[in-house]
Amino acid sequence: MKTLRAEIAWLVAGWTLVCTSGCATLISGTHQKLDVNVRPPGSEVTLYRWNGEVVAGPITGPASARVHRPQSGQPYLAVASKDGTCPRYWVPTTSLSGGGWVDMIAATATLGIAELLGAVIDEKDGALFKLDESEFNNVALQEEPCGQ
Amino acid sequence: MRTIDVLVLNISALIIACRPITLRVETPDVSPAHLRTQVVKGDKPTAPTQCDTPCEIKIRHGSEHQINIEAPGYYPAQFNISYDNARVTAAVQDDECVLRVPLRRRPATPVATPKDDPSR
Repeated sequence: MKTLRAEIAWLVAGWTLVCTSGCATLISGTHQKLDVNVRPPGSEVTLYRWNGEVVAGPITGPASARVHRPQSGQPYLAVASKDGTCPRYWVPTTSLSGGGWVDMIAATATLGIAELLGAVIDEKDGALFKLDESEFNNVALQEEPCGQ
Repeated sequence: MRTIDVLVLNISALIIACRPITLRVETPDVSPAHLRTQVVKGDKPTAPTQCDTPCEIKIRHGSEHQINIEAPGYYPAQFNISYDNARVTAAVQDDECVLRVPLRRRPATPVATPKDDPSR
């Protein structure tokens, strides 16, 4: 019984150590797969940071792309476009990634102690967050006149 | 620390956390473009509600707005942004809250010359 308790204690300690070194980064990674499907076929999607830096793209759909998760949960600006059609702009929804949820639960369980360093790493490299993939599927660009 | 000090500290923190965010909107390579905003959520419009880019708009706590940007020769851009979007951006970009909107150029339409005009 004593050995079992010691093993559990070691397991908890090990898990805490893993979490303090970036739990979400290990679970979810810094990038996510994004399935882009925009009509008409051949349309391009580009993801920008708000300061104008290109995060990914142009991605010609339909395609799958590896996109950097939003660091510190910063919003991106997505632009879908194709010559002759009205481009579509949107700010993709950002939410907690799978690893982010694990981080949150670990933080709650250990009153934040286990997450002191891990959460900083995870937040900075974006592993805590994910883009809502559904917003990149079935995007339809409309014909002129635009903005109707 | 006295209770009144703690109270003042808390209220100050609340005021700082809920202060309006100033967002600078730019349209690279297109100057000026006309920006208009419309309230989507909340009851406080941006200040101002329209301007020529580059310009700054103030976004109030808890609000969401539709942004419309138009420039001759370019497709219009229309999308929603929220106070939370701007707040996170300001925090990440070291309090420099900037939104650069890449407008897409319309294809040049051929201008009909008298020679091309069949009615002549």
